[in-house]
Amino acid sequence: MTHDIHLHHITRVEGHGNLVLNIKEGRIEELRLEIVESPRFFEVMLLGRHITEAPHITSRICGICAISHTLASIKACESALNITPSADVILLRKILMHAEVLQSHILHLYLLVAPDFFNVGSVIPLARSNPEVVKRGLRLKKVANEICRILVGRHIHPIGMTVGGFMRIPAKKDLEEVRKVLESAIPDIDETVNFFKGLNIPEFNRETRYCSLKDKGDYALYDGKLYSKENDLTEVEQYRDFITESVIEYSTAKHASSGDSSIMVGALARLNNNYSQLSDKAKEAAQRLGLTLPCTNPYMNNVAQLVESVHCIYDSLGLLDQLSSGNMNVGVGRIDVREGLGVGVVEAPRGSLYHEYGVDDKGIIKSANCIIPTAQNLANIEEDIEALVPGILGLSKVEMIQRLEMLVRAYDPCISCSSHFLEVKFIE
Amino acid sequence: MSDDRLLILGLGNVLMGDDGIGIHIINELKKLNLPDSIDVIDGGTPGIELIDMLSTYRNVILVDAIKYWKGDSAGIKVVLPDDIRYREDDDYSAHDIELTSVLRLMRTLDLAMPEIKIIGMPAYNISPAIGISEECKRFIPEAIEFIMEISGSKIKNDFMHSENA
Repeated sequence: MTHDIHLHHITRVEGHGNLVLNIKEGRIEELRLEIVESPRFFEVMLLGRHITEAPHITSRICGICAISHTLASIKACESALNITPSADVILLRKILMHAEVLQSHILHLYLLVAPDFFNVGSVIPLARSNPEVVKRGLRLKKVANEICRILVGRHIHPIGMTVGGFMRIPAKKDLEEVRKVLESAIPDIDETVNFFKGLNIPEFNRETRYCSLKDKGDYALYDGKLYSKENDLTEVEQYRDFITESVIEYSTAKHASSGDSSIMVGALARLNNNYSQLSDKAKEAAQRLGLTLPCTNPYMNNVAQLVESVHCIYDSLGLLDQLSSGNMNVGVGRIDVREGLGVGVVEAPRGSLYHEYGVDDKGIIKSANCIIPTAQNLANIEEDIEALVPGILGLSKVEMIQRLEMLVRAYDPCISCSSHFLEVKFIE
Repeated sequence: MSDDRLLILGLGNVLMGDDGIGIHIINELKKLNLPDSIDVIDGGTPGIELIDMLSTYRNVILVDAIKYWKGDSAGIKVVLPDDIRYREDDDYSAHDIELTSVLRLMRTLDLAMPEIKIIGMPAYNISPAIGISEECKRFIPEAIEFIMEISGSKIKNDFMHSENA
């Protein structure tokens, strides 16, 4: 039997990609995950700009992960300029990272993933059949947006964070409001765990290299060293020893590898590497959801995202308790520019996000490099599909396509802004 | 929906030529001395975030581009949510949520909706470009005047309503 599957524009992913799969006599003859977005050239845009502008420019790389890009950029700037932020600044940044991870995961789980489990094409029919489910997702997403609004003005392209600290010091009542908003989310996140507990996740396992930050104390989202169980802990400045990027002819996004292996980044990779550092409530959620670690089923990335969402809510409440009780020290001090090279890495919702800038003695950017999580997962997705296909050849065409799309979607790829439609070419 | 303020919200992408006309008009409005009871916001391309923006106001004036087709009478169009012919298919992507998708989702979920007037600006060139076309630009003064007029009456109405109450 011959299958020629051309998923032209994979639906319900963030951006624009095609899957080309040609199967003959049960063997894959051709397999390509094509990323056909236009290159964005952000690194080139940074050249010649002052380093303090970089966080505001690179925030525009993504409307979903704007906090992550801003913070990876700020950390790269602070490393280049030898600036050490205060403990309160770091605590507030961690709360903001949690808010972004929460909003991104919830958006993915409720608006993009949930329709698969109800066998409907999108959130619209889901809103008709199960409005309470969609409303719950929107309420949780609003929680994260509110936290960002209170602390940094807005979630998309935040304006309150900058190199060295915050442009506005949150008042006591702001922090009380953040706490209230977080506490209001607890019943909904608990119900979300109940909801996803009942859904049937496809069974498929393939071992790969799970890469993420790893920190001494925290479950690493804001800071740490580069880690996979095959590698020693690597300082972020040595990231080129840890991860290699390569150009692929059919894709406008680069592929990535570590050593001789493709890699997986994101929620499941982080849980595999750092499970013991999760908050107790998140561990309890993992148990309720039937997630045992280490886990090699990429479909379980969705469950891992939910476990992290629980962690982000409870851990944020703990971080609020750690902030100074008196006047917080989060203002921006004097910034002295100097020649240097800085690397900043955070765990964005979809995985490790790298920014690196070289600056001259006037603070002008002379070199820039950004490595985005989705690009790191692409080679791994292709290898997953290669391993998955022999086991699903017995399914109907419709089921086979759905299983493949669900796999790509489980990685929550954020390709770039674009329109979507599904055109399937399936020749026997 | 507790906010009695009026929201004037511009939508669009300033990197896509006339698609950004809503934002250009917002920038012009910000130069004027509008009453404190009016929020003038550059909404950009907010996607699903638009739900939160809309649901906190009772009255909203949206300024957005409407593609100008040859044969259309050139001019500003005032569109109400009921006038929109919504898509009937279920295709929907979280990365592709524009105004009509948001309104459709809010209606499907029966969420509280503000009273919305959409000021549709004729867009002649929607492609990668910074700045708007001359054809589109000539409608800006008329749009500003019109928005001032309807926002003024809205404020007056609200004021009278609260006095009566």
